[in-house]
Amino acid sequence: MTKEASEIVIGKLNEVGTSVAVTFLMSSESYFEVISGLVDDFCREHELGCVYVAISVPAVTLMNAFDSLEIDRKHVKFIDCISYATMQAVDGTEAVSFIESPSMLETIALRVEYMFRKFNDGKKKVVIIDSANALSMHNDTRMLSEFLQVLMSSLKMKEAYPVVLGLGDQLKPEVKEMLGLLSDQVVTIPHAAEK
Amino acid sequence: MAAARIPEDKRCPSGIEDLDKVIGGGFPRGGTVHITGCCGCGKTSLAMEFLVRGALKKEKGVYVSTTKSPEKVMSGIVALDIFDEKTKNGKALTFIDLEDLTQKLQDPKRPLGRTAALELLNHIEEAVDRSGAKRLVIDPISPLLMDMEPGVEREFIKKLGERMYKKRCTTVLITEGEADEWMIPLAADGIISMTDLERNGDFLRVLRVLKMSGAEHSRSRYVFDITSCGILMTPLIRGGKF
Repeated sequence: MTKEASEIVIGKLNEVGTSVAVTFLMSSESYFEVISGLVDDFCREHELGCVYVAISVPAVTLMNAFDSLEIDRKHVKFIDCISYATMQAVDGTEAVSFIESPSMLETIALRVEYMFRKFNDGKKKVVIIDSANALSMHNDTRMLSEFLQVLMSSLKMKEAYPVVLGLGDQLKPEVKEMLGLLSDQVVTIPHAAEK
Repeated sequence: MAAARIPEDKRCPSGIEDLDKVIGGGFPRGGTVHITGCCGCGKTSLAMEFLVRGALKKEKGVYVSTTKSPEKVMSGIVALDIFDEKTKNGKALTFIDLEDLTQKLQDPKRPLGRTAALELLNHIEEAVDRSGAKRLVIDPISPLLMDMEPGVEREFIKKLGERMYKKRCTTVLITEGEADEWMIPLAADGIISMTDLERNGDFLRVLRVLKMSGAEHSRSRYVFDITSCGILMTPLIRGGKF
């Protein structure tokens, strides 16, 4: 099942190409397979850079997880929006930029822009917002919708792959509706039991 | 909102891409731009980027520091990737400690009278002439004005603006506090207000262009970030109806 989740994600992004905002709604069981499919397989296949906006899990946790799974992460730059809020260590490296709170939406957009300028190596980039659930916990839906619209438009102009991740069954209905309006495509990755 | 772009002979691009987009391509060339805001909000970083980006376009600059040594100022700001050793040590930028200029005054006692203030202005002008600068920053100018006898500061600002305009040297004057606390706005061709905005416990750095002569500039508020790639801006999210 898990292999299929990453195949769905990669297949969809291959189908739509750049400049198309795609939201992937999944179950928690598929979560890590989707991430590794995006960060590892998809980026490697297309030689892409990756900007990972970490809102639900600190960047250091993700990096450790990637390392333990032997996923190459040299091409990944993290924007960590949660470590400050949870008083975790925020020892910056070039690969991680910290933001004080997930509610500083404009700052998130600016750091994404910064990553594009700082690491302007000519490679196209996947930008992963992980996750809509975590963002919606810290932000009013109206603020969030404006933020996502601005960010998605900016990423489309850069010919990036804008990707929003969400745990579908845990999303508030209004957030789900908003994602439907703001994303070009919403893909629900089925549970193993549904297949 | 992006303002209509005005020809570069009339504008002096700050080089801060996002800022230039909302002010019609740059500051009024030869004009005086007043940057005002609270402590630590990024005024010096903006002014320094204006000078460095100018230097990279072969426009020399003079930075006059009034409260700290230039070395201390430099050590306290985010290092720009573009500000390399060549630019730092070359002749494109001249850093001046105001104390060095006041020591040259014939009558340096405070408060400075009209003669001393105009003598000081001559020294600043000489520094601009010597280096062939097209960009001047005085950071901050408020302590200098406070050191002048009442009424003298108005004449100083007026003459500074006139002399730099004749040289087509675009001048940035920095003050702490609100935009209208000083009389500088009355003589300024541009005013940029920088502040911290509190929103639900978060503090966002926010910038607003209050005035920019000759441009249909944006009047919106922009959140900005000071990075090694320079100042980046994005519109403040208003939370429109969904």
